[in-house]
Amino acid sequence: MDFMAWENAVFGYHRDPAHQANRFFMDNAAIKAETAAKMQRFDVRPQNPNLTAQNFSGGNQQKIVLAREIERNPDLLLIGQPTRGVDIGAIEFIHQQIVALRDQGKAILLVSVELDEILSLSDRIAVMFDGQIMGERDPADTNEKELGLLMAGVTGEASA
Amino acid sequence: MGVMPKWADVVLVPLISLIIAALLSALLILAIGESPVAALKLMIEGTLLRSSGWGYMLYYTTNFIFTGLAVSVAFHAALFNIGGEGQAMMGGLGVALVCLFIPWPHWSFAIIGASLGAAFFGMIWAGLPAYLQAKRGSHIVITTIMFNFIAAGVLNFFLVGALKPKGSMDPATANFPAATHLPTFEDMAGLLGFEKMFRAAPANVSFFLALVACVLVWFLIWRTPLGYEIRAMGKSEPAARYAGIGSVKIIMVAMMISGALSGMMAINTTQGESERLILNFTEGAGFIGIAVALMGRSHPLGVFLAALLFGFLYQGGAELALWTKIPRELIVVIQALVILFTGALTLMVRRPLERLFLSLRRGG
Repeated sequence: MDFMAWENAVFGYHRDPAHQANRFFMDNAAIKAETAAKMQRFDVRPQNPNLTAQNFSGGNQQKIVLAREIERNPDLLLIGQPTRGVDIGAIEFIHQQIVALRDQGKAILLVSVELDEILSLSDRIAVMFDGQIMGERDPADTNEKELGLLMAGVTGEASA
Repeated sequence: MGVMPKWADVVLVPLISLIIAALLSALLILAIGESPVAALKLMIEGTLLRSSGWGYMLYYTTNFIFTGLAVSVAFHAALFNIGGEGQAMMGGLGVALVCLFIPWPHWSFAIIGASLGAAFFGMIWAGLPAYLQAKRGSHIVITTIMFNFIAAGVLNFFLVGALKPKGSMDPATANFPAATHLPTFEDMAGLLGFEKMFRAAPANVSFFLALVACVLVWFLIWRTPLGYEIRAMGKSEPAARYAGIGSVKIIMVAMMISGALSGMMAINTTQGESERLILNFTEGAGFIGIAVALMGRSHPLGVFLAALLFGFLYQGGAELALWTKIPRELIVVIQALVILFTGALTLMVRRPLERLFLSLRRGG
């Protein structure tokens, strides 16, 4: 969080050849330019790669992280609570990005406690309780009530 | 970027802290019945207005740059290396072995060899506590302090035993061969045609080595992937682990670089000044390095400036002890005040300043 946005934008990928000027040095100028471009695409505000990450609002921090991970074009993406503490406009934007990645045929495992988010984004929903998957549902033929029961550990068979 | 502009953070805060420390020191000098103005005048005359004063000041500065950089590198990884003293002692041993047992043709080769020797020994001495921290979780502060005492013991063992010339009563090695003697500022000024400059002052060519070290450390911390990883680890270890940065490796590497820098201090004192290895040659410079790093905010440029300040205090303090009734110990008190205000109490200065800048911004 004390790192500047451009430093955060390559966190974990800082040894990528694209971020190296040569064998010994990092290409900070290139990283900053790339970060500025990412910030524009993801509408991060303020659009300043030189601010420390903690100076951004929660939603904009999330966008920086999502920009970092999504622009890597991963085949598999694990996301936990991507919209927690994020304002409504940003939530919609983040959801669009996740769906766009899905439409490219990438695998996404989304973990969230927001039932609305899960119902609107998922292709398949697995509900966990006490470390076990209680059941899998198709979002088209389930509802919040059923999911809520599963979350409490009440499976259909037990209640029947 | 915080509330304040960068220049205020980097220049104004240390400066105000320094002025408060100076004012308190002035009161202290007043309290023992001496004039603070006269004392300050004497300190400035004894250091800045005489070329040999500069020669002494820069000699101390060289030591403090090396140890200050050493502590800074460790600070960036959130490691507190208090073992600069011991690492410097072992560095001295490395310098002595390299200078005594390898027949060097010229000082320019000898300084490279001695640098490697000093860095290697300092590195080992920092590497052991680093290993204990990284693998066994023994706290680095405790182990590096203890390693200071072990280093002193090891140095003692060699200086009264294997490395002491036969028939000598002095716990010191034989004099280094003439070919390893480093050119002092006096020699260099003579070469440039300035006779009688820096007369008898101990500052020598290793001062420039210290400047090179400053530049290299800057590149290491802010321009290399390793520096990025060291800083990431220093800010947050869990985050660093998430990014695939191994904490064991970073602790080891950061501490070994730190130890190598501490060790290289011995080139200045041992090869440059005494030209033999003596007991207690570090004179507390390893600990001063902590103050230098705190005051310089772990930035090589800050470390350089802080090292200059402490060089001034050291040399000025010697002048005071020589010409006035102000005891040598008072200088230690003044240094302690500087450390207290620039290190520990920095928030005391920063908070009101931040508030001031905030209200200025709102007004403007």
